[in-house]
Amino acid sequence: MNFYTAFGLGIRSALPLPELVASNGAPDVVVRLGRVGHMPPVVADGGCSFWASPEEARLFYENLGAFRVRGGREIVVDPAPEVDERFLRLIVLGPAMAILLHQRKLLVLHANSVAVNGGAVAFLGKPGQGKSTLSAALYARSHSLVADDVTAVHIGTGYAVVYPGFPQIKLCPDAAVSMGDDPETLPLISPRLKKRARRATRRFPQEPLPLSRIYLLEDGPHMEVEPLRPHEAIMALVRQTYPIVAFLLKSTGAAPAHLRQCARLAGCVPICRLTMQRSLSALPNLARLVEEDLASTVC
Amino acid sequence: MGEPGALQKLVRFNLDWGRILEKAEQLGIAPLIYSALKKVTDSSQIPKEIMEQLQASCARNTIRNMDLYRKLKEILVTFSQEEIPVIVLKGAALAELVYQNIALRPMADLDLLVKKEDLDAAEHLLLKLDYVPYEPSFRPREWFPDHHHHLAPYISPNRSFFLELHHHIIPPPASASLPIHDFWHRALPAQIASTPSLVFAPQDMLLHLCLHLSHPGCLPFVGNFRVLCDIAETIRRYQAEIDWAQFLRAGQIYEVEKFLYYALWLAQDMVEAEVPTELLEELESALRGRGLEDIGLKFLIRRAIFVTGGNQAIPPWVIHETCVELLSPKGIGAKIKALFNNNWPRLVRSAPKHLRSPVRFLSSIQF
Repeated sequence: MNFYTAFGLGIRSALPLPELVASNGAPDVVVRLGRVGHMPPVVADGGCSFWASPEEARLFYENLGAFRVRGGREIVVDPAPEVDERFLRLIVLGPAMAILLHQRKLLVLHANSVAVNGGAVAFLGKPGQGKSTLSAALYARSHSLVADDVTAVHIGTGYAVVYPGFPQIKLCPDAAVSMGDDPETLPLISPRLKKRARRATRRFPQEPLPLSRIYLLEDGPHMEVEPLRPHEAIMALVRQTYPIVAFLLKSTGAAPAHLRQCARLAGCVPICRLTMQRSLSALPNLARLVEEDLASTVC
Repeated sequence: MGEPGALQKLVRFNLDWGRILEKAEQLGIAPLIYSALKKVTDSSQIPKEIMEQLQASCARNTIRNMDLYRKLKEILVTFSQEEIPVIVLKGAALAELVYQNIALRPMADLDLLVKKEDLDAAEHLLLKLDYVPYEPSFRPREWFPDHHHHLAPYISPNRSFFLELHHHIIPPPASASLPIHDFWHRALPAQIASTPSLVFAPQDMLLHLCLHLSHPGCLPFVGNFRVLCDIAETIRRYQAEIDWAQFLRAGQIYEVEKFLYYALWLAQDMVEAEVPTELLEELESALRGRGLEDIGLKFLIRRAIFVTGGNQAIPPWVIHETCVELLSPKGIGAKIKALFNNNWPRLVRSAPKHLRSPVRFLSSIQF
C-alpha cells in the first residue's frame, strides 16, 4: 500500500502513484483495485462514457478500464487486461481525482496554478492554449508550481484558497526544449500521448495558498491584461470548469450550486483576460508581464 | 554562513550543483547560499546558470518580503494607535534584526504575539484592515483559541500571505509550564518595518527558535534546516548580549532542557553555531540515563533536518513520529514498544516489498 498527499488530502493507494508526494498514513481517500459494474452511460465524451449520481460517478474508458468515484472518499480502479499502468495513473490523477474533489464540494477548474509572491495565481484556457507552458516558464523564473491541469479551489467567506496538487507539469516536447530540457530525458505521460512529464519538486508548496488572481488565456495580436467584467468572469469560470466535472453537473443536479461557487469566486478574486501570442519565443515576456501585473495593485 | 575560505576549497570539488540548488530551494535557504557563494573569490567552479537561478530566487524573496513588511508596518501602526502591544516573531524579526538583510530570510507568513486578553481587540483591528478570517479544512476556527498557540490564520487583503496571531509560543498543554508573561516582561523595543515595535530579548529569541526546531508541539527537526541557520545567526549576531546563565535557568525552570540541548547540539554540529561548551554540558546533564535514545535521536535528527517531503524511502511522518517518541519522557522499553506498535506496521505496509526489513529500510534512507 502506498501513502501520499495531494490536493490537501491524505491518499492511500493500491496503485503506485509516483507523481504524488509521499506522506503519512492517515488517509482521507482510498484508491483501490476492484470490480466496477457497468451502468447505462447517460453522457459520453471523447472515448469515455460515464454514469453519475450525486454520490457516485463511474467512468468507462474503452480498452483502459472502469473507475468508480464515491463520496469524495474512494476511487475504485478496474483495469482492462494488459493495460499500461501510466494510462490508469493519468485517469486516476485527472478525471477521477477531479470528480472526487468535486464530490468534496471544491470548485475544480481546468487550470494551472503557480505561486507568485506568496499567493496562488491560476491560468485558465482552452486545451493547447499554453497554460502548462506558461506555468513552466514561471517555474523557471523561481516561482513555485501549485497545480497542473486540475486546480482545486476552496471558497470561503470572502476568500479562496488553492490546494497544491502534485509537483509535475505535462509539457509538449517543444515547450520542454524552450525550458532548457531535453524531451528525450523526460518520461512520456502515457504511451499514446506526446506530452512529457516534467517534475517540479524543487519548488512545490506543502500548504494551501490564498488565490490572489485568475487569468483567462486567450489569443490576441498583443500581450495585454484587462480585467473581466463580473458576468464575463463568472462565464469564464463556468466554461473552464474541469471538463468531466462540467459534464457531470447535469446528471448530479449540482449545476446551480456550481454556478453559485463560480459567482462567489468571481466576487472575491480578481479575474483578468491575458491576451497573448501563441509563441514560445514570446514566453519570457509573457511571464514578465504576469509578474508586473501581479506587482501592481490594479487588475 | 560558512567561511569564504572553506567554501573556496569546497567549490573546487566536483559538486552536484543541480542537487544543491534543489535542496536549497526546498529548505528555503537559497538566498543564504547565494549570499555565501558571492563571497567566494574564485567563482569559476560555480556554474553560471546556478548562480543566476540562486540570484533570481533571492530577488523573488526580496520582492515578497518587501510586500510583507509594507503590510506589517500598517498593522504595527494600527495596533500601536490602539495601544495593543505586539511582539514580532520569527521571520519578520529575524530578517531585519538578525540577518540585517530582508533578502536573506524567506518568510511563509507573518507571526505576531499579542497578549491573550488582547486577542479580541487584535482580531477586530485585523478585520478593519481587510484581513479575511480563514477556516482551515482540518479544524473550525473556534477550536484554535483553547487548543493551539495561535488563532486560525487570517488571509492578507491582497491574498498573498497568511497572518497568525499567537498568544503563546508552544501549544497546550506544554504551554502551561512556560509562562508567556516572562517573555513579555523581558521583551525589548525594536524598529521593525521602520516602526517601533517589540521583539523577544536575544536569549528568548534563541529559546523560541530552539523550541520551534525541537518541540513535539511543532514538527520537530523534519526539514527545518533553515531554523538551524536562524539559531547560528542569532548567536553570532547577539553573542555579546545573550545572557547564557539566564538562558540555562529558563530552560531548567520551564523544563525544556532536552529540547534546547538537541536544537543547540544540532546547530553546533551542522552549521557551526557558536554554542558555549559549558552550556551544552549543563543541558546534556539533564539527559543522564538516556544513552540509547540519545544515540538514536542524534542519528535521526542529523538526517531529518534535510527531509523535505519528497518521495523518501522513509516518509517524513515516520521520522517526525520517531523523533517525538524518542523525545518523550517514557522509558526506553515503552518507547521501543510504541515505535514498533504504532509506526512499524504502517511503515511496512507503505514500503516497497524489497524494503520490508528494518535493516534494509534504515539503510535506504535518502536525505
